[in-house]
Amino acid sequence: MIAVAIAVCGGFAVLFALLAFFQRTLYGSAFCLLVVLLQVAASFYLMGARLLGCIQALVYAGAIAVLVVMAVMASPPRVKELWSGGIPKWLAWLAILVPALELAGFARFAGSADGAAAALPLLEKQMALLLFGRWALLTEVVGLLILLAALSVVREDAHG
Amino acid sequence: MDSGLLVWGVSGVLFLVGGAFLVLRRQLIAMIIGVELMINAANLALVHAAVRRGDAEGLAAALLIIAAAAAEAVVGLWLVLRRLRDGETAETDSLRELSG
Amino acid sequence: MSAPWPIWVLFGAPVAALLVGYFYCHQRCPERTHWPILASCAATALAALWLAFQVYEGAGWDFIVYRWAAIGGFTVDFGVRLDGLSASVLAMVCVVSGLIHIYAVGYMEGEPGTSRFFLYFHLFFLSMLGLLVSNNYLQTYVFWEGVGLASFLLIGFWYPKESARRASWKAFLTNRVGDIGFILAIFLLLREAGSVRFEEVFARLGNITPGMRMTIGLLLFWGAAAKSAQFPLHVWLPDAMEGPTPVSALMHAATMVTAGVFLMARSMPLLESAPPVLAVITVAGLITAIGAAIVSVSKRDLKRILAYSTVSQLGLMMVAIGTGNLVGAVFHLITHGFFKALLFLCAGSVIHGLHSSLHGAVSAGVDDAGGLGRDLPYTGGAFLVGALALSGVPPLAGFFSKDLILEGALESGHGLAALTFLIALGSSLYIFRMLLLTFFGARAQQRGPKAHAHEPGLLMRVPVLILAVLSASAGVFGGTVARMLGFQPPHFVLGVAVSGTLVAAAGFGVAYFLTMSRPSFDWEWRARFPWLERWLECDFGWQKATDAIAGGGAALAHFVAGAWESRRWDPFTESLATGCVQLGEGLSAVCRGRLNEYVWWMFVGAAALAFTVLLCF
Repeated sequence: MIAVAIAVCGGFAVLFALLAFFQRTLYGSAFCLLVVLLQVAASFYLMGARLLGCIQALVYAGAIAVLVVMAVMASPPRVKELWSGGIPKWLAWLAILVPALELAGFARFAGSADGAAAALPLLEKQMALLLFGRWALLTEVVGLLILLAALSVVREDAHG
Repeated sequence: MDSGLLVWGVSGVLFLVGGAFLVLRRQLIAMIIGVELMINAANLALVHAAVRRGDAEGLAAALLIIAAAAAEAVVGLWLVLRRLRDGETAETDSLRELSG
Repeated sequence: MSAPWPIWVLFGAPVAALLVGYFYCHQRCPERTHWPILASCAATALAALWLAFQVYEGAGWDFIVYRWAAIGGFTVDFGVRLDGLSASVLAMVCVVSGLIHIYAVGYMEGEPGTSRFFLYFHLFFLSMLGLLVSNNYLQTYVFWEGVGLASFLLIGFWYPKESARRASWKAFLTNRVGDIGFILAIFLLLREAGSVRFEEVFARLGNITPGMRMTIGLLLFWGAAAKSAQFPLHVWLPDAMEGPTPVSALMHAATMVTAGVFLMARSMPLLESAPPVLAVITVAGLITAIGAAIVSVSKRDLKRILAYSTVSQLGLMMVAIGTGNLVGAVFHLITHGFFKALLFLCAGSVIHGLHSSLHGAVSAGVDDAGGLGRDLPYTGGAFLVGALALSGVPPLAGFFSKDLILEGALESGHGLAALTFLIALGSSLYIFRMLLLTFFGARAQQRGPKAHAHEPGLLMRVPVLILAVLSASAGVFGGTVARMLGFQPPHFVLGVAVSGTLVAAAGFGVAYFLTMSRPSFDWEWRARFPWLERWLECDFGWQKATDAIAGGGAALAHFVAGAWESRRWDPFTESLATGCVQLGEGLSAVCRGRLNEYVWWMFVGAAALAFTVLLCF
């Protein structure tokens, strides 16, 4: 059952990835990317890594994909026409339909014994211990990386 | 059905499609999208393997990867925006300084 | 036994003379280059005579002076071997060389480039010495090449003249063809006998199969045939007369061309152990001697008559070798050195005397001479002595040496003896023809008496005199030479002696009839039988044959160069370069600048790497 669910999510991810490739506009590609990311988040959740699924949805789909879309939208007007001429109607409908289907399915089968893989609190606890224990330095470094990225943007912008 | 094989298949296809973005699309933002796809493909495979083995390290790594990808997306997109702001096109046709 | 100091003089003097002559005289005072060289000639002549006397008394030396290289068991040495053979020939060579050096001072006076001439001349002398005293085949070969080089330089001495250049090339290349045989023989000796030293080779003859001995002997003879102008490699010697007369006298009469005979004499133990080779040598010698004698009768240029005479006499020496007659061959070599040099020097005096009427030509023909006995009595007299010696009239030297050869031939068979007598008849015929046409009876077709020739100076006359005396008296040394070579002194068979003299007289008679009784005969037969003259002119067609072979080789080379090298090979090698450039340009498509392509190549590379890793592990 879980396998079917993961298969569905994976299939949709592949579908939307291919759709992203064949879009005429960058806006469309970014949109399809968003859906893919959400599908991946769902996959994580269904596999059992609940925390990671939520983080994926929040950070990746919620921030990065939005950043991409914003970059597309923020391009100068003469380029924007090329890139962001709107998405096809059917794509929009599909993008609404797919999550609806998935949610429906999840609701239907979630309650049963093997609707979704069991949450793995132990594993996640271990993950937390790892991140702030043995890999504390690495965590700090990655945090610094994000800080640096933000600062570099700010600094350059200050000059420009 | 072995979910492992399926996930690897999905991961592989996502990776290849991301690679196709990188190789075949001219716009830089499209290439960034491709990179994101590839990272996600890798993440998918990583998390699946970690859950199957019960290995917390995999999950931790996936989390750190997401964080790094976020930083990378910021810088990359900002570079593209800067170029666009300077009035040039962000397409690989005109970015030729690495030639020779 | 330690080497006596005259041996060091033998080499030291010429080397010192050459060094002083080149580095000092040639640069500062070219007109005096001949002084150190003449001094060296004197010193070496005295040393050679002293050494010959010592060897006669029973001494002998064979030692290595300097080991140049050693590779495993094979060594390249510079050694000295003074036994009867080398000492006797050495004495003759040094004396004759010295006399001709003196003659050359007078002959070449006023010529441009005399300094160069004397340096080359003495270089030849040094190489000849090295050849004569060597104690191994390889050293002989080295100096063999040395004399060949000197010959090339001296034949082409007047290099502005194209015929001289061509003649020197012809001499050098023909000798090269012979040298192939020599060097192959050396290789075979190394393999079969393990050494090239004479002593060791002759001691190990038993270890070599008869077939291999025959092969080595034939190859050595091939080399000797080129140097000593035997058929089929004699074609260079007549053309070599393009060089100055002293060169012709010394190299192409008395010394260099005898190197081939000397080599055969040295290798006598080897040749005697392979009888078929001796037969080949005899036949080749006979063909050469008889053919050359016939051609010599028909020649008109003075020096070329003598050149063919030399070829014929060398053939006779080879016949002697072929019949196993070592004493005869060597003694004739020595006496021939004396009288042939004398004859050439007389011809040189004639040319020198006719200088004004020759209008710049370097040689004189029968047409330019005629009745010169009146103007050049001294030269004529000396020439008469030489002619008598050549024909073998007693009691001159040639009689004794030719007699030895005739006796040896008789022992081997009557047919052979008859042919040898025929050679003697021919020798007498051509030399008396030359004498009579040049010095007696002015004929209508000749210009001699009108030329007002004059006798040459003292520098040229004295060597001629000394050589005349030697040609007349060297017969007494027959016993000496035999003793030195290790044989009993020869006793003379009266029958052979008388027959030889009669043949010489007959030759004189025929010559007199053809030149004096019928004065214009020499011109008449040419007019009546032009085809005969043409036939004789190119040595019965052999000169044309060798020209065709050489020309064919050159044509082949040109063809290959044109059709193959410039049309196919050069474009191919150039295409390698352009191919590399194109490959580079093609490969540089990897870095044209489009980022997409770079990513693509990264993928390809990573995939290939992964594939390889998976494959291997």
